[in-house]
Amino acid sequence: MYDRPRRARAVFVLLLLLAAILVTVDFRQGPGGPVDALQRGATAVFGPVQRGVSAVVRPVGGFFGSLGELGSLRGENERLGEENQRLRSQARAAEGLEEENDGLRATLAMAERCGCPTVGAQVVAHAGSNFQWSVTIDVGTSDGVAEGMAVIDGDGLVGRVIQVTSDYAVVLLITDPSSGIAGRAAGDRSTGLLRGQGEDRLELELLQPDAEIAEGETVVTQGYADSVFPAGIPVGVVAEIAPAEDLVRRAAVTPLARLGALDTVAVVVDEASSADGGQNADTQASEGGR
Amino acid sequence: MSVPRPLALAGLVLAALLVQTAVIAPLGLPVASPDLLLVVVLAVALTTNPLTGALVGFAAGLLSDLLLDLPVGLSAMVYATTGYVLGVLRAYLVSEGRLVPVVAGVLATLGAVWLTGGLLLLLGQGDFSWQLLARAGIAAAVYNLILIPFVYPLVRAVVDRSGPRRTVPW
Repeated sequence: MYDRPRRARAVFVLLLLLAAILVTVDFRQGPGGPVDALQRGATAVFGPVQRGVSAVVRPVGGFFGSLGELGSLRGENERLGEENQRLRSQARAAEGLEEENDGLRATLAMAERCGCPTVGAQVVAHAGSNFQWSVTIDVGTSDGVAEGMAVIDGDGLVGRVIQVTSDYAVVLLITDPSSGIAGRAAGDRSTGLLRGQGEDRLELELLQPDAEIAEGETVVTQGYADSVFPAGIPVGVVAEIAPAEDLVRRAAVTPLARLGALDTVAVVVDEASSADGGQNADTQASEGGR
Repeated sequence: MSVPRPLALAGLVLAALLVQTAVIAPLGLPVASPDLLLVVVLAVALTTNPLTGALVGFAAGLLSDLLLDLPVGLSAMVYATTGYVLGVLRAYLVSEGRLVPVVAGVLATLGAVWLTGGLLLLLGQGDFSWQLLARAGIAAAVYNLILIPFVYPLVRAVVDRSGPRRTVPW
């Protein structure tokens, strides 16, 4: 009994050591290491459950909204109320389907515009962390998804796949501070690096100090021969240009994708054709971005 | 009730993780996200003992680490520390006032967010600014302040109704 505080302290120190070892192992391992395998296992196990929960939660929000209206009904009214509610939930489900349909159409239109083959996906979970901006989607290697692939929604670039299991994938959003994407102004050809800022803003670091860039201009992805990112996907709109202090010019960019309310997205699955068809996609996307 | 406490606590942690990732995080609240998992850990620590607090914190942190792309073990370290420290501090509390979990929650959230961010910056994994970190800590503390009055009584009820009456470490 009396040694309990000491025992708690010993266990606590052991836990800290264990955590420190895990951090070290995680740092040293390459892709496919033991901790990486654990992470993919966790995503594989939690993905289906998260999908279930988010599928349940969406209508429940609306259900609670309508409960207040039904509260005063009794007896006969109750039966009618139940029927009413059932009809309402059907209508709401139809509304949800319509919304989903719209989202899918918009995403499809975006995919067609960039001329790249895509796989549609539903967002099943968000990171829920203050240090990582990512979402889990319900497609994986069995749908042809691989690490590094670009993810878009109906409005623009969402992020990049950073982890993939057979049926689920984790997407690092473009707003994550560790996210860096090669981009360029759609009109002018000045290129730069788009960095996440952790909030709903991106920073564009222009490589050419004399680059001509204007507020309101669309920024699109820049493709390279060996890059999995197709060129010409709209990323955001220049919101503010920082005064030129040093050699690097910076501009704040507002993302086009609705990152705060992601629901239906698409993964650009074919990297090969995007590099070839990049030029074509470029012009189409710049026109569409205007 | 006869539900073994480890099982009840594991259920709490899993439920909190699901609600956090599938319900709270998608809300996309400004500046930061509430940390339901941390609120559960601190409530467990305040209603049990340092050992249980540290173990539950470690398990909760490890699970959330595995679902993220941050260094695995980091949240485990921070949550275990939160659970242990609050469990120890609880023994020094004279009153069991209603404000205790609220004050503890705000301080623990500030501490946990800033500690995680600080460790990430030290490890060279964080590309965010100190200002953003400071704001995220304060915002998360405010959000958690709202969660505590709902979560604390629930955790307390689960702890009271599971396992042995006396707190025996598992």
